[in-house]
Amino acid sequence: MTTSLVLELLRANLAEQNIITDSVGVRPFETDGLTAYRETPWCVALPETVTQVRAVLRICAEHTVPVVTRGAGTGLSGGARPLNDGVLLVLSKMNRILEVDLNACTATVEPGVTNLSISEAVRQYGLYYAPDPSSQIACSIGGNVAENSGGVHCLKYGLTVHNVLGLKVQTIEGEELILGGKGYDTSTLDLLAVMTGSEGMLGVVTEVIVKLLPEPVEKQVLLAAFDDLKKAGQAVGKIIADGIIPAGLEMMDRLAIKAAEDYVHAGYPTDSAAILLCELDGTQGQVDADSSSVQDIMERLGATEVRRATSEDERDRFWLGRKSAFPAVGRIGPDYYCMDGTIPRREIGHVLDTISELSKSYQLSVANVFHAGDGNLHPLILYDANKPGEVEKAEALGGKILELCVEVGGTITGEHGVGVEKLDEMCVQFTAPEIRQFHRLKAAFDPDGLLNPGKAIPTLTRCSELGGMHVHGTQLPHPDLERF
Amino acid sequence: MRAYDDSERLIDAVQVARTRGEGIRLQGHGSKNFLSTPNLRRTQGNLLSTLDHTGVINYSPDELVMTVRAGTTLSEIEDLLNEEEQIFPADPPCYGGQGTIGGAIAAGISGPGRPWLGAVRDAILGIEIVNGLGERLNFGGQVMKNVAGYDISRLMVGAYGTMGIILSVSLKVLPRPQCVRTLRKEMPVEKLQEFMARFFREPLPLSATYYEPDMLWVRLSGSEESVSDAVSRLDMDEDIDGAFWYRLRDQEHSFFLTEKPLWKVSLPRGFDPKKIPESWDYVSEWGGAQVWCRNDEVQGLRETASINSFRNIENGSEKQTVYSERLKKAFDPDGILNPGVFI
Repeated sequence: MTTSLVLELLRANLAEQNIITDSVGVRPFETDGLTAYRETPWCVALPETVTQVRAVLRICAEHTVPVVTRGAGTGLSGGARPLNDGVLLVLSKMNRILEVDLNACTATVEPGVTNLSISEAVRQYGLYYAPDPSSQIACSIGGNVAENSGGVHCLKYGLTVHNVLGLKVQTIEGEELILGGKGYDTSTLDLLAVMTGSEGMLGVVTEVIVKLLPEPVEKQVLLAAFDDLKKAGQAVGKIIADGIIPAGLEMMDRLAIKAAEDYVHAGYPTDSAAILLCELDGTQGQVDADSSSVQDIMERLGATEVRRATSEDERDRFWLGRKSAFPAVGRIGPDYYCMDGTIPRREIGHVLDTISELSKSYQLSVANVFHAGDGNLHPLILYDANKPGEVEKAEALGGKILELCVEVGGTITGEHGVGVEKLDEMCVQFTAPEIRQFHRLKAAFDPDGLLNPGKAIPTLTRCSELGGMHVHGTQLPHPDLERF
Repeated sequence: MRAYDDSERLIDAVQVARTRGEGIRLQGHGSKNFLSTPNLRRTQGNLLSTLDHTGVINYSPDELVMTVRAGTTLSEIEDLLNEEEQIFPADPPCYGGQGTIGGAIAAGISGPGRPWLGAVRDAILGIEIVNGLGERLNFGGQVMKNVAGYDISRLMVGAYGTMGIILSVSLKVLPRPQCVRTLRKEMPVEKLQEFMARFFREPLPLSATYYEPDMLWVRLSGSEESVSDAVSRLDMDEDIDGAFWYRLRDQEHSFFLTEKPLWKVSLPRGFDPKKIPESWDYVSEWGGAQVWCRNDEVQGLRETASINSFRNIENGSEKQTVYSERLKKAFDPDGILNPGVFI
């Protein structure tokens, strides 16, 4: 590629300060939230308008330059890891809320708007945007769409895909696709669903219409302590089985409880093996009734203690420990590696036990903090990147945990995405024809493979070369491939 | 309940059709053949019935998940869910009392609760299909959160079998609400928008609305406490006819029994009903976002629809069609699945 020509063209379309190529200036963009993976981008482009986004895409398409799109860079799977021969298209400057429609109860926003700022902008009307990933203070809605982000409240209110009504998407071929809208359902293929969670592989989102929900009248949070992880796991299953859908149902294990308590002093019972946090919302009467049912279930299944928040302050304190859990765990070891497998709820006890055994055999501590209600685990593997071989050991342990998730009927990623991180595990979860189907789908939008190349879907060569492949019984996942 | 794995025959049929260069016309009960949008009657392929591929593969009430083969009927599924006091919230229609789950997913038509209980696409956790190459493929899974790979499960919803034969699906089911009540109130169109504004803005346990000028019906579903609280706040009259909503869903309501063409118009949430042209003989549901119109010719359709700035009337824009056609090719390169339908 004629780099100087491409730069010249980019500079002709974007403001001087919005094209960064110097080594100091591009450094902050070397990595996203998965900091173990770094690469220096050749060029960072920060468009401020849709026209500029289209110009960048057009120039890159014409000169066959790969494009990696990035929002706030909080992603945890390396999906926004840049390429040293590509343009990093950063949408953080497109951060305007374009419209709040109180009749439709929707907000139309640019992709760089942060998740939390949508809720803040509409709080005065008693409305909010439901999906709330832990990074919501910083993460952008465009990134949420790319990853189909979840959060604590998606058990009851759904993922990003359930809360986004419309998108404007720019394709690498220079077309603008208008998908969905303020109404429901189209008589066309559901491209809106395909675009959501596509990790920047199919197009660039430049406008998002989100659904706003009314704030619940009443909220209650219960904290229950257990002396056994299995009992806590059973309580989770029983609450849901009894027909209660909590707004949030979270679990922390001993190591996570202790770390959180040392960090923020939330008043957690540090002598317990697990705690459950259960948030219920709705009308006063409903919340009271559900709280009593949940307390009853927890006690019957052997909770050593159940606390009901008696004030908003106490409710916030219950949540504080959970919400600070990741940084809290970060304090007890030099580095941690966050996993994201999802399993059927009934397998929680079994999987946590197995993780504990794996942790012993790999001699790496694992703290568990997770969305128990929807079976979405976040084992945090503690390691020291400065010790030779520990990164690889942590990754190997992580790989085992994800294979375990697939084995019990779950998935390798519930909400963080595949990115560059879980490409090998994709080979475990999908067969060769399925992976080929993914590649054909990608090619329908991006025939030259310029958008976020190398992410999200592994090549079949990678799958076949993968050492230590997971085998179901005697069946190899890709029997039609040669093995090396 | 019937249970039979007919998948080998369905896969063989695709392979045979490929070899012979023939099309396949997929059908379950055929209960949606009357719909004009996908134009199911236009297809020239050989009929391939999915009716024998039937039965529940897995139902875990505690996990709120059911995995079923495509030929399983909606009424069989409903019976099973009833035993466990659960529901399939998307509530797809059973036209003429018929319909299979495969057909319901392929058509993607949601019931009266769509804005509040979710659409068919919202309730899909995973899918198993046969693509146009005769390959058996699995996407998604049986868990609530799953972002591994592109969301092909949802892409199959509303694709009318043009991209793959649906073999089985994993559905998210929900506990049956403790209490369901129907209310009604006389409501001139002038006052409708203001009244209905509450339906998206207030935390009411709403689960359906229906407006037939000048009468508004609403359905409330939830705990005893929340429903009675809402009843006291809404100031409407109780209507004891609970079957009302099933008749609406299945278009057996008197409005739909017409010889005239029936138009389905998708409008933005909160659309001002006063802007609906006077010539329209219409009813609306989904808080006003879905309008049914029975006129020979619908005046002002284009104008009304374009108010929904993000919506293209008819089959989307040309650009979208280009990508849809390419997607179809990505799944069915020889164009053998439901040729002529929809795309």
